[in-house]
This record gives sequence, structure tokens and C-alpha cells, in this order.
Amino acid sequence: MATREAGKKMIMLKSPDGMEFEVEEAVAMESQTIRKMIEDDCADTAILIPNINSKILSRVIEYCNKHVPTTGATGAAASDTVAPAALAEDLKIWDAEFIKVNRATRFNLIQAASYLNIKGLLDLTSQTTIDTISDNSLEEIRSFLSTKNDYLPEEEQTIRRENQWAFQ
Amino acid sequence: MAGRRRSRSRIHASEDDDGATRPSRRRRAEVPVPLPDGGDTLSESLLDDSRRPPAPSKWLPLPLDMLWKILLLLPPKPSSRLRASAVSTRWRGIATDPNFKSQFLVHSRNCKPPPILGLFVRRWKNEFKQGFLHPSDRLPAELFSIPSGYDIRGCRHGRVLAVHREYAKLLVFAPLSGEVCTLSVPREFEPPDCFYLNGAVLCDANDHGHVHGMCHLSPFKVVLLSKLSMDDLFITSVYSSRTKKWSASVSKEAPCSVDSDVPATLVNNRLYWLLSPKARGLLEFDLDRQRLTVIKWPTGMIDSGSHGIIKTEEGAVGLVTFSFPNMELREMKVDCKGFSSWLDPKIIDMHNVLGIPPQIGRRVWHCKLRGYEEDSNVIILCVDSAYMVDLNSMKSTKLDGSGSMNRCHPFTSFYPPDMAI
Repeated sequence: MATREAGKKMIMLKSPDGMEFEVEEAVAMESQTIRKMIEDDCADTAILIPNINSKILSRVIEYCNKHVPTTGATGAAASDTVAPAALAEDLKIWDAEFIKVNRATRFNLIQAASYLNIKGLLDLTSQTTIDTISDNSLEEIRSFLSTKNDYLPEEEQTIRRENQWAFQ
Repeated sequence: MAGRRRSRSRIHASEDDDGATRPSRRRRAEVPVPLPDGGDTLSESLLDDSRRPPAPSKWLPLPLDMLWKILLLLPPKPSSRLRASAVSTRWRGIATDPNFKSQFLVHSRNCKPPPILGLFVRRWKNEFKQGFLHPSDRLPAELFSIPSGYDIRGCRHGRVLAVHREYAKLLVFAPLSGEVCTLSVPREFEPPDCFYLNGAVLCDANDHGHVHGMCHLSPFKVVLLSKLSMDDLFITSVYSSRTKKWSASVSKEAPCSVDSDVPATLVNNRLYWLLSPKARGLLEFDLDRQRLTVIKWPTGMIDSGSHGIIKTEEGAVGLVTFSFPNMELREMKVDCKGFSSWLDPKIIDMHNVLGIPPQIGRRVWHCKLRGYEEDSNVIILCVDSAYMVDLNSMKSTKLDGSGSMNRCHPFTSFYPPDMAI
């Protein structure tokens, strides 16, 4: 990929609450949104990431930092000293720990992943959301995903009647 | 229909009824990241203090396109759509959208293993257990009825292989299409030369891009395994539904046996059977090379516990040993010269996985591995009750009323398109 030679180049990311994060360009380019900006030469000194506060942005950078070497090495790098399977296992455990955050943070991470277009993080957060949908009551799903129950009372009654099991 | 109408507008924070407002001052100095379409829904309250749960009065939904993408990841079964539809009219709008339905069908088949539709269990007759599924995910029981006199040897790719208890004949059965095919076995597999029949069925579709899961109409293969009564010789032969013929038999001398009801595990076009316990090994049949091989267990592995062969997440052969509360998983490595070795075991404490609290005092558990499904990597085991454990996520489901379950054969397939969503 085009980023390989630019591994050492640093990029400044700014959150709306005024924090600055200096990250390697390769790490920042885990985000397709930022990658496009860099490739289009729109990023001179600092990139302001609107809508993602410093706490979430730092978690996102932490994720990208952890994942950047693996993404770069997928498939091609035969010289890895660690077995790819062990590495993948390690990353999986790390991901599982990473996503063990409270509901609001997780919700923000989903939005940040979508917004910055980071595939791995998007997959991870989406899968967590799916697990939430599968494992929780409707009220919990609504609460987790900030979704309002906008069914009319009589519609809700019908749905409850037709899908008893879903409300257990 | 109200949901459809509402969902049509691009979903912003202001879309919801409480009138939550969107931040309007989002474009700032420096170089802002361009906002994705409909993606500017993060509220100040969420941004400023993410440790605080969102205030109940603010309803700030995910952007429609994102919710759409997430809902595509739902498990491919009818209950998924019903459950999602019940959340809100907006969700119902997506779940009932014809474009979503077709994308969901394609996405599910390309990205997920087919779901388990039930378990064939032998008691005094063959039963098909679906009780652990949501009612909307259950199919009519009569689809899965097996003629009497047959014992099931395994299920794979939408088909069931059964062996007649008295006569040397086989039944290949595709419950969802109703296809039934009776096969007689090659002469050398008939009694008195052979005293049991084991085997496996698998899809034989070779068209590019075929995804297993709706294989009912594809050609199939049956691999028959037996042991000659007079010699220490395993023999196999492969039936192809394309040619309607059995291949020449292949044999391998080995002073051990495979129990007749032990199902095979398919890993990388090779079938693996667990040898009977004292032999401490596996029998491999390579479908490409038509070759039988005996592989030894890892040295130092203890005999106690119940053993099974699995396909690991990495797509390698795995050996699982269950002796409550421990489950040991070992992965087999094959080097470039074809020599196999075993990696160190991963030991998992099953108390939490199964939700069985540690006992005060000593209690002897009768633990057994009862079944395995290689595509979704799900194992069925018995302790105080039967459980289904997803070895990838380590989530378990208790199977009610099944304290002493016999060997079972999970049946997987995608739902027929009209039921899928």
C-alpha cells in the first residue's frame, strides 16, 4: 500500500474540545475518511475531527495503533516472527477487552467508527450491537441504541401479542 | 407503513419526536473532516461526558445507513427480523424494506455460517429437537422425519446420512427439499466382511463461488468407512451422486477401531474420526488424495474426559477434551513435509461459560461431548444438563429437559428464501 514508506510521518488530530493527538500517518490512515483527506492533500498540519471528543478519539487512536501492523501485514508478510494465528488470537482478546466499556462510550465508538470509516472498529462495534440485539430485551436495545419506541400503544399491544417470546 | 414513511427522511437527531436539536456549528476552522451523509447526530451531551448515560429525554438514533448496515449482520433466521421490527417503526421500516431483505439474504449467505435448525437425537426413535429455537425459527417437524430402522451417522451441507440397522444400506436425506436417496453399499462393506458402517455426507458442488448452506439441489458425496472383521484394516469408498458410483476402496492397516456412531469432522476436504479411546488417535481420510492416515494424540495428554474433534477458528484440526470444569482445546499443526504436531492446550474453565457455580464439596460430574457442528463451531455437551456451546464466542445455551442426552447430530441450513426474512 501507498502508506508503507510514509510510516514515520506524523499527523496531528484535534478533537473539538481542544486536545491534540500526534499519531503516525499509517495509524491515522486506518480511518478511510482521514486516508482520503491525506491522499487528497487536504491535511496540512492538523486535522480537526468534529463530533468526536478527546476521550473517544483517544480510544479510537488506541484501537488503530493496535491494529495497524496487522492490517499492513495481512496476507503478504511472510517474515512475521509471531505465528499469524497467535497474533490473531491475541488481537481478538485485546478487542474483547477494548469493547468492555460502558454503554455511552460504546455508542460513541460505533458512531466514531462509522464517521471515520474504520472497518475493523466498525465490524467490532457492529457485532457488539448485534449481540446486544440478540441478548437483551427490547427496552434494553432501545436504551442502548438511543432508539425511541414510537409505536402507538395499540400497535405495541399487537406486536407484543404476536411475538410473545421476544418480550420475555 | 407509517414506519416506511418516517424512515424515508434521512435520519438526523431532529427526526425523532422530541425535537432534539443537531449541533449547527460543526464546520470550524482548520481542516474539518467532511461529515458523512446523515452522520452528524452526536449530541453535545454524549460528547461532553461519555461516562454519563445519554439523558433519557434525548433520543439520538444511529444514522439510517449505519443502522441498515448493522441490521444486515443479524443472524440469518426469521426471528431476527421480527425482533428488530418490534424495536421501533424506523427499525421496522428497514427490516421490511424489500431492498434490505434481498441484501440481507445475500449478505447472510456470504458472511455467515448457516444456522443450526435443530438436533437429531436418538432415543427409542429418531427425534428432531428444535425446542431451543424461538418459535418463529422452528420448521415443521414432519420435514425431519427419518424412516424407521435407520441410525443417523452425520449431517452436513443440508443433508443427513443414515445407516440401516439390519441391512447394508444407506439413506441420504435432504429435509428441506424432501430429496431421499437410498444407496446400497459396495460388496466388501457388506456383512460378514464388515461388522459396522460409519460414514459422512458432504456437498460436491464445484461451481466457483458456491457457498454451503443451501446445497439441497447440489450433487453430493458419501464417504463410507468400515473395518474388515478378519484383518486390522480400515476401508473407505466414496460415492458420487454425479456418477452414481462408488469409487475403488482404499484401505489402511491399523490395530484400532472407530466406534460406529462417532461422526466425522470435515476440515479442509479431509474427514476426521476419533479412534476408540485406547488407540489415542484420529483417523484421517483425505478426499483429494484418497488416503487414510492414523494420527496420534498429543503425547502426555490424559485419557480421562470426553474427547472430540473440531475445526478450529483458524480452520485447523482441533482436539477438545471435556472434563468438567475444564475444557482443553488443542490445535494440530501440519508442517510443509506433512508431519503433524500439536500445539499446547488452551484450558478453559467452564463454570462461567455454562453458568454452573463452583460446588461446595466434591461432586463427580458425568460429562460427555454429544455433538459438534463444524461450520458454526458449536459443540453440544452434557454435564448436569445438555448445553450448546459456541466455541468461537464461548456463549452457551442450556437445552432444557435433556439431562442425559444421547449423541446428537446438529442440522444446519439457511432458511428457505421465503422464510429467511
